[in-house]
Amino acid sequence: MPTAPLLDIRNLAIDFATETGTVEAVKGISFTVAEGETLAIVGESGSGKSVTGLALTRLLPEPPAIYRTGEILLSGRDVLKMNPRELRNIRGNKIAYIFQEPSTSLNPVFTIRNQIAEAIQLHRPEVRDLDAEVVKYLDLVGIVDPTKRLHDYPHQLSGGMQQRVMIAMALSCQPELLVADEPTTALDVTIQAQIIDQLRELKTRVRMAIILITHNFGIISGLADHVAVMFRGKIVEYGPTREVLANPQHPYTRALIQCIPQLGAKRERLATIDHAALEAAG
Amino acid sequence: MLAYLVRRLLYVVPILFGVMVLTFALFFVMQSPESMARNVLGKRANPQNVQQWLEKRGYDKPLFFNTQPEGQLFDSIFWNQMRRFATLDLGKSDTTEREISQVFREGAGPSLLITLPAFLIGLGLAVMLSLYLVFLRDSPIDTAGVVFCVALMSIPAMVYIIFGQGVVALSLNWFPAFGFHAEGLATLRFILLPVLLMVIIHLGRDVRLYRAVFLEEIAQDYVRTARAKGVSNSRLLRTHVLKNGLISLITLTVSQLPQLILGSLLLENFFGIPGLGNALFHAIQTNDFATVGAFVFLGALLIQAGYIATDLCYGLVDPRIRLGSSAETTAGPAHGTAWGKWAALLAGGALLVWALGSGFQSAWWKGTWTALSTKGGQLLAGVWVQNALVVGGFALVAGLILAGARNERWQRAFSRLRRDRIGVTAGIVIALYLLIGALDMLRLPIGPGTSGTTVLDWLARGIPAEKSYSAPLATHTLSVVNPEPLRGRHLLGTTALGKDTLLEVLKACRTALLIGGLTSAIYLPIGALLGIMAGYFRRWTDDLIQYVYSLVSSIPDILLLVSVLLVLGKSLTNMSITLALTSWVGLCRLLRGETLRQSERPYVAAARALGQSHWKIITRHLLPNVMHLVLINFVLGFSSLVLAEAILSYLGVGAPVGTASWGAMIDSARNELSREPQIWWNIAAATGALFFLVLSLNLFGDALRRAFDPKRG
Repeated sequence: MPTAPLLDIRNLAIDFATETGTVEAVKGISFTVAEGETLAIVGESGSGKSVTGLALTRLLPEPPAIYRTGEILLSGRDVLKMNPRELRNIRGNKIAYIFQEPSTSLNPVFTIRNQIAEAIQLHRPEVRDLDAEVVKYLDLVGIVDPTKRLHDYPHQLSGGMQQRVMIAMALSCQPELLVADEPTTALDVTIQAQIIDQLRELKTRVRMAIILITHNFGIISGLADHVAVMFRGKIVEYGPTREVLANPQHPYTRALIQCIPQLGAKRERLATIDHAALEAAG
Repeated sequence: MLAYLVRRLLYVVPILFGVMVLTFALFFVMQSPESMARNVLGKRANPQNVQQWLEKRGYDKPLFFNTQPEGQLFDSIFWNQMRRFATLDLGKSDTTEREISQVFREGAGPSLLITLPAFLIGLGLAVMLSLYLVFLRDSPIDTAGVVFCVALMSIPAMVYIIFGQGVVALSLNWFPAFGFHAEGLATLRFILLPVLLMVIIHLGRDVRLYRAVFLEEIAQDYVRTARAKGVSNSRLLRTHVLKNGLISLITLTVSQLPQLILGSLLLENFFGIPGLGNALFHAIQTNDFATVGAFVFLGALLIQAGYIATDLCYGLVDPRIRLGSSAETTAGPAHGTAWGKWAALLAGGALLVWALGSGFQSAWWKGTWTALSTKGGQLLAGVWVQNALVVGGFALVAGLILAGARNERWQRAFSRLRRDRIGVTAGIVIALYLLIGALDMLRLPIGPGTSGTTVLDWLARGIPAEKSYSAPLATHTLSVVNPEPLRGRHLLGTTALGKDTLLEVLKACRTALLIGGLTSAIYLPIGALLGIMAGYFRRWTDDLIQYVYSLVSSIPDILLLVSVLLVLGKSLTNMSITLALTSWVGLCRLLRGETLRQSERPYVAAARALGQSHWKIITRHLLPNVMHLVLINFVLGFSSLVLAEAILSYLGVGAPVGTASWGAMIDSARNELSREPQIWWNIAAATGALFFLVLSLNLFGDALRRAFDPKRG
């Protein structure tokens, strides 16, 4: 093995304590992300993919979340053994996040400048000219005339712009890993494409690993190097994107791929996933 | 901005007009000017004096329209009154003949000296404490903190004041116990204790409320984003959550600000502070209708000022709101757009008052009313009729809950409730109180008269009556000069009339439960029905209902209660009617909002598509879906009704003399605590009994809310 991977997850299991008993959300998964690599975690809602993303910096509220087994090794150090101060130090700094709903994920009563500057202040106290730094990142994510936008409030921006601000905020501390949790789901289709293009472009310009969490196989090709398919808290298929797309092994993966509408295909009803059949197949 | 302000001010007009009509209806229609004169003059009332008094105030004129040959059409009590209030002329006091505006000018200063510092200190303290609890959320300290807040809320204000004055000022001699002199820094000596007491009185309620607001903020998505940035928990609270939370708090706080001028009724009276609260207290005690009426008008004016201030603050603080464009303001339904509708509404209202006015004053109505009430009284006096009513009442509540429990959501909530240790304990305590109350309501056909004896009295028949006060377990009455031997030992001592304190406290359960039950029986159906109707029918039904409840809520509660009771007179039924008058608003507003949301759901559209009638949709579909809110409101509302009963009895407009009441027992402690030796057992027993009931009701209500809505504990 040449170098240790940036992120190495080993046998991670996460439970949720609810009033009706314990729910096993993630049932012992393992995967790695190398520096600069993009991994897509694909699965339907409830498959445990978002929980996995949030667990990387222990953002899940505990309780109800319980980390039952496993290790989350970030550059060789186990996140699950870190104290609160160390955790804060990696959040935003080493691992940054973009969430699904930009309109609620930004604080409505602070200007976008203040929200981005807060991250920079926390992790890069050496930066003197905060305004210039914020403008730099707004520019990087393709916001036109960023100086004018500095003192805008989130509600004054469109959904696509808000998500760009989220991305700028995530990039502003030069993280080694970006977790994009359904970054395009809440946006309309044309904006979705723009945001995905943006991520693709950033991937080449800023050397940074990305974990892209999505339920949509359609957006990962050309962006993700590897794919992990999650089903009911387990990774059922894991491999290079090209191979998985070309030759899916697990019936669930095949079913998911069939759900992608194809250009030029015969007009017919899109496939749905038959859970009973999958259950029977194990 | 300016356009908004103008429109907002115009909206005040119909509300104030409504308030004026309401006050008029109350003072001049519900009671006639003659009876008012007799009340004010008291013993000096003879036909001549009454006539003179009426003429002097112009109350000898016709009520609405002057149709006498040489009179002008609008030279009547109603129009003159309207004209006076419209020009902000508040008139003269009925008893002291002083200009009421003069009273306000003199009283506002001392009142504000107490209320303003107390408000600011209380706000700061409550925000800090609630943020601290949110910081420790879900920990035992948080739970204990909430229970402590509820406990603070469950002690009636006058007990704090009596304790503060009696112990801190009189016994420890730390502060002057009475009096007020505005003389520079020395004033501080006089206001310190009242300010402190006022802070404590409101602290529990505020901390609990603000905690809920901050908890709601902490569940927002932006909090997760901030944590993902590496923001620490304490910084998160200090910046992100605090700013958002404070914006939500504006509604709760800024609207109260103008009302601070009115001062604190109880505090000022106790400490002899010459403020507006004291002035009102005296006006109530002396049947000074003109002053009480002016207070109502001024209170409404101040509440409207508070609403406008709230809107302006939002415009300044919340970047999302730009005044004039947004609907997220306190302005009512029409936003001043449909003037024709308003005119129709007001004309209709005035007509109603006129019709009622003529009706109420007619001999036919009076005769019928007296006949009906005596007949009703006789009919209800029978032992078995009363027993049937009591059993019926309990059965009705039990039946409604059982009917609700068929609902799957209720079943889930009940199974959660069973595991809530605080909730179960509180429920058991409430059941005990209900049992005692029921024992004192059910009657046995024993003893003189047709009304029989209550089961509780029958059980307590062995407890002897004494002649005067005696200490707990004492052998002689409490008299320094001439102690007499007692006929028996009394666990908690005896009252001024020699009644056993414990028995008296237990008998007061009945009063509290009766008031709470009767009031709930009146306001719950009204509030629920109107709320659902407003949310379901929308449009003019909604406008009308919103107008009515804005009207009621634009008069400070205590003022409305006091003035209605002053006019109606003391009785348990009147007290229930009066309390119902103010209680339905909260429920109505809550259900209107919830019904608006529910009506968007497909099941309502589906029911309409199936051709269900409106009435069926309301009762079969909407009501079951909001019924849990009614239940929670019932339990929490019950606790405030019990407290209100005590406070009103204490103010002298509550339970009639001779009815056992915790408020009345606390009231008598004013004299008892200043005696030597102090008689503390009556107030202690009454406060204890009241405290545990209100505390349990509050905790049980909270537990119910948690059970139905586990996410928003």
